[in-house]
Amino acid sequence: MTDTYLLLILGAALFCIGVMGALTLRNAIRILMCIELMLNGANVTLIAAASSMPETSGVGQSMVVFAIAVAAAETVIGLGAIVAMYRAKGWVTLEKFNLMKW
Amino acid sequence: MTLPQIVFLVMAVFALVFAGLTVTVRNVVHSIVCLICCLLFIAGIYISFHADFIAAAQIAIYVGAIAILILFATMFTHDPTGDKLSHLNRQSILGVFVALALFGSIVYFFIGTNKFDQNQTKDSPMMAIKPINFVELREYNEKGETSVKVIGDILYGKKGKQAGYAIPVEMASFMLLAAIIGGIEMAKKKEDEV
Repeated sequence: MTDTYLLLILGAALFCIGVMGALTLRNAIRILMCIELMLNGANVTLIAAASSMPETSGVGQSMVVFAIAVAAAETVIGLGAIVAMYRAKGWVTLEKFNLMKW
Repeated sequence: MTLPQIVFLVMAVFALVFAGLTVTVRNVVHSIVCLICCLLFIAGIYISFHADFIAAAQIAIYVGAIAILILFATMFTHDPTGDKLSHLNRQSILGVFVALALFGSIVYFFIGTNKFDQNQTKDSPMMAIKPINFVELREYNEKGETSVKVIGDILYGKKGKQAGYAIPVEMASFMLLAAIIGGIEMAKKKEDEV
């Protein structure tokens, strides 16, 4: 059991904690935070894969830079959508939103 | 067990504890504070795995920008019904079981593979795939340079060679610009509203 395995399991645990929160919480902003946790788990997994191959470690790390950029864009769009939903309805409880359901 | 391993294990345990608190505490602002602590411990883990630029980006972007943005959005959108109801929804027990099953299956496949074992790195099929601008990290480490120069060489290409990931970097910057414009457009007050 090397350090790389421990880091991979940490990434999987962070991802699954994020999945648990995204499935169980009602507040839309908290679900967005759980998605941040899931993206962090993915980044930890990328760093684990990068550190297991020292010669090409920089490639994996530069992929994490792209992942962080995607996370920032996703947060901005998600929070914009949540603020727009709050303006329209007055609450951010995600269970009650069924505007685009059928 | 060496000292770096102990430090890594302590930081990993704290990161997991704060991640768990993020999804379980009732108060939203407490949840954001726990998320910030979790992100900081993950940045420490990055440092212990020689990814110092990623650690700095994690602190600057996640903690400095994203978490504060979420905090502001929380304060803009106070939900009066959320104070009385539970913060969990109806499918919470099922959701916990699904997450546990997912974790179990991911760990099962991690244990089943040995591609990430450090002793077998040389024989790994991933080593056959060379990136466009293959940069020797050891070469930089012997000169005492950080991972910033390595990442810069990979993203923008070494001098005199073909550019590495310059076009994806530009696409990422355009994506961020589009996200900024979209966020402003969605969140701003429309003319017909009061």
